[in-house]
Amino acid sequence: MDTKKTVVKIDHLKFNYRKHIVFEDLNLELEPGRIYGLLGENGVGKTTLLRIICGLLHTKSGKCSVDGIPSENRNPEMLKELYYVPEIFLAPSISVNTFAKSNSLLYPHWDAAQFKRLCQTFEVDPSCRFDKLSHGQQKKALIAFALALNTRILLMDEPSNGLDIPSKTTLRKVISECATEDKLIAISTHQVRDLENLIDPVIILDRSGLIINASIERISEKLLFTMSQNLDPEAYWSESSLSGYYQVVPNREGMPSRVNLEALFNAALGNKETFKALFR
Amino acid sequence: MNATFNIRRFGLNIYKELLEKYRVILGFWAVIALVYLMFWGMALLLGSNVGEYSRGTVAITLLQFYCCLIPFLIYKNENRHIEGTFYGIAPASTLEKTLTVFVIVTLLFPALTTVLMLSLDSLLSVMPTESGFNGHIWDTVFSSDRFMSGLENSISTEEGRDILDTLFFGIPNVLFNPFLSMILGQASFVFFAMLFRNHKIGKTLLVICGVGFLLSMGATWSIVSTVKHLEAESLSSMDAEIMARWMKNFVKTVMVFTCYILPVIFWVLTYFRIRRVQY
Repeated sequence: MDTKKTVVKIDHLKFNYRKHIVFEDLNLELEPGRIYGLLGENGVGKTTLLRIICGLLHTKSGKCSVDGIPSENRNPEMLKELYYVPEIFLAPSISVNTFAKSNSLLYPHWDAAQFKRLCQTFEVDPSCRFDKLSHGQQKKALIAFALALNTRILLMDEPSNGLDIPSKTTLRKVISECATEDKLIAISTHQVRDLENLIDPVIILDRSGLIINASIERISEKLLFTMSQNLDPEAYWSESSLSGYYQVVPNREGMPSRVNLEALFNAALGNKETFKALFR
Repeated sequence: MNATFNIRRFGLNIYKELLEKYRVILGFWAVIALVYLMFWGMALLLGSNVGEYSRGTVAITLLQFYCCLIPFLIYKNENRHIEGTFYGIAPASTLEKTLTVFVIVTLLFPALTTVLMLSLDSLLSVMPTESGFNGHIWDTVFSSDRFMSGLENSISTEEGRDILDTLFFGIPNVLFNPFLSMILGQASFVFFAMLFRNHKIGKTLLVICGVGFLLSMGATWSIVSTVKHLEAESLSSMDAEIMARWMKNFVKTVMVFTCYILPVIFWVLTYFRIRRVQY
C-alpha cells in the first residue's frame, strides 16, 4: 500500500462568512505520515480550514475531499477515520469514562487501554465528571481520547492552549509517540514555540491564501536562521538582542541551521510575496 | 459498509446517544413523577375522589406536553456551533442520526413515560385513603373517543352535535387516538428543535402562534365569504347537501394531511436539517 498517497485534497477552495472572505482560491494536499503545523495570524482561517476538512463547514465553491470523499457529505466511512479536537468545546455533564465509552463506539480502532495510559500520562482522572474538570484538564482528557481513537486523520485546533508547561511537554511527547507512517496529524496553532521540534511540514496561512507549505528540511535549505553581530541588509526578519542580531536570511551557501518557527512565521508575514515565490 | 444505512452502526448510535442523554431523561422522569404526585396530593388535600376518566385526561394531556418538550431538552445542543461539534463529526450517516432521534424521542421516551405514569397512577390508586385516586386508568387512557366526547360536551345544542357528527363521521377513529396524535404532533417539535439554535422553545411557540393566527384568519375569511355568498342567493336543499358533503370531505382531507402527511414532511425536513447544518 502506498502510504504517501494524498489523504486530504483541497482544490480551489472558496469560503466566506457572509461578507468576510476567508479563502479565495486555496489549494492544498496533505499526506499521511506527517505532522502538519498550521500557522497563521488570528482570523486567517486556521480553524475554518480544519472544520472544512472534517465536514463541519461546507465549501462555497471548490472541493475538499478526504480519501476521495467530499468532506461536506459527512460520510460515516470518512468520519470513522477522522477526529477533530476543537479549541473550544462544551464538556458534557457525564464522566470522562462515559464520554469515552459512548463516543468511541463508532470508531473501529479505539484502544481503551491506551486511553487509560494516556490519562495517567496527562494526570487526568477519567472517573471525574467532564464538565467539573478545569479547562486544561478537559483539554488533556479530550486529547487523550482523540489519540486513543487511533483514527488515520487527527485534526487538532490549538491543542496547547490552556495547558501548563509540563503538560505542553507531555503533549509533544504523546503526539510524537502516536504519529505513525499511515497517520496524518494536522495541528493548528499560533503558539509556535509549544510545538517546535514536533511539526513538519509547516503551513503558513494568510488572508490571501497559502504563504508556505514546506518541510523543515526544505525551509532550512532555503533560509538560514542565524545570530550575528552585523545586520544583513537582505535579512527577511531580524531581532536585536544583547548578543547581536537574530536574523532570517537567504541561505546562499547552503549552511545548515535549526529552523526557528517563530522567526520563520514573522519573516513569512513580512515578506509574503517573496516567500510564496521562494516556496512555490 | 453501506454509507447510508448500516444496522450495526445505527444500533451503536442509539446506544451512544442513550449513554450521553440518560441523565437528562432520568431527571425529566423525576420531574414527571413529582408533578403527578403533586396532583395526587392536591386530590388528597381537597378531599376529593378523582375518577379514572378525569385522571386519564390529565395523564394524556401531561404526556402530550412532555413529549412535545423532550426534543428541546435532549437535542438542545446538537445544531449549535461549538456544542454540536461532536455530534457533527460522529461517524453515523444522516439517516441513522435522524432515525436515532425518532427512536429515542418518538418511540422509547413516550412508551417508557406512559408505563411510568400509568404504573405510578396504579400505585397511587391502590393507596388505602378515603380520597385521592380511584379506579385504574389503563383502559380509559388508550381510548380514541376522548377527543370527540370532549368536543361534543363543549357544544350545548342538539343541532351543533348533529353538525359535528356529520363533519367527523367517516374519519378513521385512529386519527383521534391521543397517542397517535401525540407521536405525530411531536414531529414538528423535533424539527424546530433541530432548526433553531437558540431560544428554541420561544421561537417554536412564536411560529405556532404565527401559523395559528394565519390559519384562523384564513378560516374566518373563508367562512365570512361563504356566508355572504349564501345571503346573496337563496339556499336550496340540494345546495345544503352539496355544502355538507364538501365540508365533510374538507375536514377529512385536513385531518389526513395533518395526521399523516405533515409529520412525514417534518421528519424529511429534520433529515435535511441534520444533513445541511454547519458548525
